[in-house]
Amino acid sequence: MPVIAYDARLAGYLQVRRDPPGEAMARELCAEAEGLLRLRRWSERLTLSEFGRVFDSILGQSKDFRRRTEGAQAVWLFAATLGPDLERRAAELLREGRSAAGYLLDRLGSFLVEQEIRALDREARVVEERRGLSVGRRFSPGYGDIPLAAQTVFLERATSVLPELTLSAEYVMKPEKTVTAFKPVFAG
Amino acid sequence: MRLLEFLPHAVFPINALPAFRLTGVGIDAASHDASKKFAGAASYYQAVDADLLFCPSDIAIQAEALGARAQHASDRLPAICEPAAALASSAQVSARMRVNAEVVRRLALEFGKPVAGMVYGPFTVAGQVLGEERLLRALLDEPQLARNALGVCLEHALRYAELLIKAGARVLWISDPLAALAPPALYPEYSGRPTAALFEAFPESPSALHVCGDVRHLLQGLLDTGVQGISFDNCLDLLALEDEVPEDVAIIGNLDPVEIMELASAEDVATGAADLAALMAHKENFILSSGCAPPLSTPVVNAAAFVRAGKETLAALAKDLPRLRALAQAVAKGDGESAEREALAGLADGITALDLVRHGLARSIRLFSSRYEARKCYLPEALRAVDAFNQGLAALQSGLAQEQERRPDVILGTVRGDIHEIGKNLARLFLETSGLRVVDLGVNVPAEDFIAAWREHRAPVIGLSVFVTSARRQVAAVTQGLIAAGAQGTRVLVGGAAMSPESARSHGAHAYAPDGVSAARVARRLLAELRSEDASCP
Repeated sequence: MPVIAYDARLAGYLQVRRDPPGEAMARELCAEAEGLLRLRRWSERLTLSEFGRVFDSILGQSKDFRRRTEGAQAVWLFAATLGPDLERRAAELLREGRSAAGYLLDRLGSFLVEQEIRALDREARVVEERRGLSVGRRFSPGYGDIPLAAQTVFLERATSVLPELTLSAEYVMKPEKTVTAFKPVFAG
Repeated sequence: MRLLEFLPHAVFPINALPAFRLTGVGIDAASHDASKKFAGAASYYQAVDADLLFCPSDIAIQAEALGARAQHASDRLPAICEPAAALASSAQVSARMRVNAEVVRRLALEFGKPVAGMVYGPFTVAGQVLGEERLLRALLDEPQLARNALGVCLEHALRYAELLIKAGARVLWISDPLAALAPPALYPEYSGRPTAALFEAFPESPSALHVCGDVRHLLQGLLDTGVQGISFDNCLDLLALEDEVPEDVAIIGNLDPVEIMELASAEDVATGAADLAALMAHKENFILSSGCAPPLSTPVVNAAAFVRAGKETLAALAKDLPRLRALAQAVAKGDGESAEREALAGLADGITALDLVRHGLARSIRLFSSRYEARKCYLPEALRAVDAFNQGLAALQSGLAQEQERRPDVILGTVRGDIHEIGKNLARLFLETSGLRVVDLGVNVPAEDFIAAWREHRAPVIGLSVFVTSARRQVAAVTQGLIAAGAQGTRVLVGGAAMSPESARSHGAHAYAPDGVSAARVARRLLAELRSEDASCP
């Protein structure tokens, strides 16, 4: 069962010209991407006190984080990755002078990893609504004054599910097609 | 005969205002004296080998005849200083109009070249007669007043046009600068229809229409007048709108009449004219001209250089154009194999590799860049063209080896703390395909490495890609490092998701580009600015 459905929505996201060569290239890349995906996702729900214990030293000074989580009872942590193969292939295509294909594959990767995070988001919403709680908007390290260093915690906690993730000295996640996010939970 | 058949591949600047300086008398005197005015125009056109001649015409001439008060001075063009006290009930041609008709007659006789009958559009004249603000308000509040004024101005314009055509003007040229301010929904009724009436009244005369400023929102209205050629202001990118102009309508334009034709050196004018001619020669319906009338103080040598360089370029390209067009079209379709085939065929035809790149391959890249910036295409489409460009370029590589020896134009990299590569790579692609030489330092590049690269290559532009907010401070590190290294003349261009025009400025960068496509355009602008600064140094 293919993960990637090439439909009007995806074509729109990819901004592919709806002509035969454009469509053919997009479909071919979607097919190739199927074999390159190493989709993994991870989530964890932390109560506010648990959250404070692990993140306070990093997020204590962040006004944007406080603003987003004020009154929250818990916070979900999400991480999703496509693995390294798709972006490696996109870089390879660019190096080979196939820039349209490289760019489309990279953009397809962004679309797919966002789909994964959205799926985690939906699952968390369902769980919380069953509990009679509500969820706030999802946001990521790097948003506003929220330091990228927060990704160290994601890396540590998700390591059993996402062992191939690494962080650069500047806290940029590798593979690049990896997204981490917070989602606050509030009283219903 | 239509304009394009009448003036194929023509080159001319609009109007002939610098001729006023060659009359030997003040402008006020020359405006009322056909012999003096003709003498100035004749001197001008002896130096400027234009394919379409103009009687030097001032914008006040029709409104003055309709009762508006004009100021005349020896050193300035006549200008309306007070609207008409009352709307004229009938419109007579004035003595100054007869002067212009006589100059048209003598230019046609003396030079044996087509002369334009330049008439200001009824909308513009009505704006002078009533006052521009009053006219624009009247369109909404007192439409009958606007209609009456336009009726009188149209009747008068018809008489003036008839006078000029009877005197020997072959092309009816309507200049309607105020029309760009008409609300788009009202343009057809208040400016389009009176203009169309002028063209319909003289069906034998090829027609052209100039409206100053950005007319993209009015383009269909302009075309609906039935005009055979549209003269575009220099603020418009002809590549971005060439697909909207039918093939039987001339695209006339559009070298900057002030920044280039008036203020630059004759060499720069020639370069500008040659570049524009080469770029637009691919369109059969292109006529090389200025983006508006070059001002009174434009050096005559500049106007002459414009025409000479434009004609030389068009003549030099004529033989090779079919091949260059085929090459450009292959790139535009994203068809790399055809691009390679056409490039090799071009070499076999004797076209140099450099010309095949500059006038063939690169034309499509500039076309897509313009279309992308005008939001007429998406990046993947432009990148398909880039890929085809590169395939064609590879076929020409050996012929270009010498070209690659020159100093780099841009040092490019993603700043320290940021490992995002694709945005930087796209910027590199568009920089290179627009003819710039790039040294790519990669990603996560410390400020010291940018400075070291500058010391080695002395590239005039440093391009910094910044996708991570926390890496923004690296921009300041690079700009300060450059200053400390004595590279004050170097320009720093930044782009990437973490940057904005404001953050670029606040971190000491000189320019911002929102994406790779515009990075190429902005880098070229920075290079041109640096060149002009160099030229102005004593």
